[in-house]
Amino acid sequence: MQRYASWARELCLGYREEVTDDTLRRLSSNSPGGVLCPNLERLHWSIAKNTAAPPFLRLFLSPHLKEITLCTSSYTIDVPSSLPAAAAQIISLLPTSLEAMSVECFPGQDETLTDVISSFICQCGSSPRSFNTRIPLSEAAIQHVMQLPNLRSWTFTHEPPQIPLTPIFPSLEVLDFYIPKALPWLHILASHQKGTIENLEYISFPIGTIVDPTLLSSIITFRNLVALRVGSYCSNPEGCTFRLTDNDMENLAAALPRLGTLELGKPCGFNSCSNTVASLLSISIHCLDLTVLETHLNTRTIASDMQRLLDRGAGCDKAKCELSDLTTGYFPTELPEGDIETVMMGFKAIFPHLESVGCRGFRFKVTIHGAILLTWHILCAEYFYKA
Amino acid sequence: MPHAIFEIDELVETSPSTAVSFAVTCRSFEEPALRSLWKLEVSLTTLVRVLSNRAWVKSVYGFKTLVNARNCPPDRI
Repeated sequence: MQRYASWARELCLGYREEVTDDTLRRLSSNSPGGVLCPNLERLHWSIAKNTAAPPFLRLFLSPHLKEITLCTSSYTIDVPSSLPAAAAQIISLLPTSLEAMSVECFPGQDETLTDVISSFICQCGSSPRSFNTRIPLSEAAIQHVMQLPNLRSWTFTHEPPQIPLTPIFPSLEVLDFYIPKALPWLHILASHQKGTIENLEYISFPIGTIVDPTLLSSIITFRNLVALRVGSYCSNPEGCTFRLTDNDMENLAAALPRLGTLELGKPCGFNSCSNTVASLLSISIHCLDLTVLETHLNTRTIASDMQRLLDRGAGCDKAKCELSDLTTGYFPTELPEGDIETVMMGFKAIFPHLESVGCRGFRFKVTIHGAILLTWHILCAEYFYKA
Repeated sequence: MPHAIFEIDELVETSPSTAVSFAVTCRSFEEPALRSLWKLEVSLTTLVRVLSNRAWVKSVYGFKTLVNARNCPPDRI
């Protein structure tokens, strides 16, 4: 068994099995140095009912351990009273030289672990490259994390503390906002001339984020962004959460030419946003490596907008974006056939490699017959006709 | 002297079923293929099951499996 155990680099515990304490005790007493998997690098530990008792965690604490993920389950016993105690036991055994740590909790369990996780973070040296937890942390823990020289990835779950913020995240590449309340961090990070502003490649915004010029003014300072994702969706009575104009979109595209993924919130059916197909052209001209695009788009006058664009040919010769699939909002299916062809030709002029367009409720293909003839096919017709 | 190609570990970094095929096809592939196969363990149960059949009992309640090393000689662990 030790031969096989020595090969394990990644182990998931507590998800699928119940291993008795007796089994673990036997394994512990018969493993050299009390470590069953001496070459383990990544450990996923579920703090669930009847899972292996924390003392036996030592079995898996190899000298090579770099990453650990702790999860709680919805049926963790005696939540919340025993959870902090179990977590504290586990945390106390972890090496402070870990490079990556994730803690995933069910709603309602987060705050019970604040003290335990915060305390551990404060003990960690400069080795952590990634901390991903949605647990609210103490101010001291946040201060410590902000200064970690090698930290690449961090989930923002809090408002910035009311204290001087220098130095601040010198190596951050992945920035994940969990709640809109944490967004003030963005403006602070954007105001620093070095560190994050140079290194950041990925930003993720949560549900409830309003995409407006204020947000945009901070985003465009991170010139090396490769992925920008907004998780917002629109609903009544608030209406559309997307408030960028064609000019704003052009600024965005011109400032962030390395973008490969651009998701600006789930496109809605309100069709009340102000950006038109001109914004797509800006993106295609500036973001040549784009492969994923999800954006709101006002299509009330899409046929005439496309016709104008095709007549002028303005910029279409510079549009060389690699995008093959576009996802956008409402598409006016009641358009006359001639207008549909114009729209298809326009899409193809903007994105030369475009193959399909996903709209609210359906997706259609953009294909070429002969030189430029474009047709469309409703792929999810059932949904469409019901609507 | 085996050909140098047999020492390229990346060759056997593949799906579990293919790694098993590699392991039983050629002695030179056996060690790196098994190392690849056992690199990710989704459950401790998999490891315990390499012990003698007498060492563990299985009882299925939904997705749960009970294992017990009580009957396993220490030198087999």
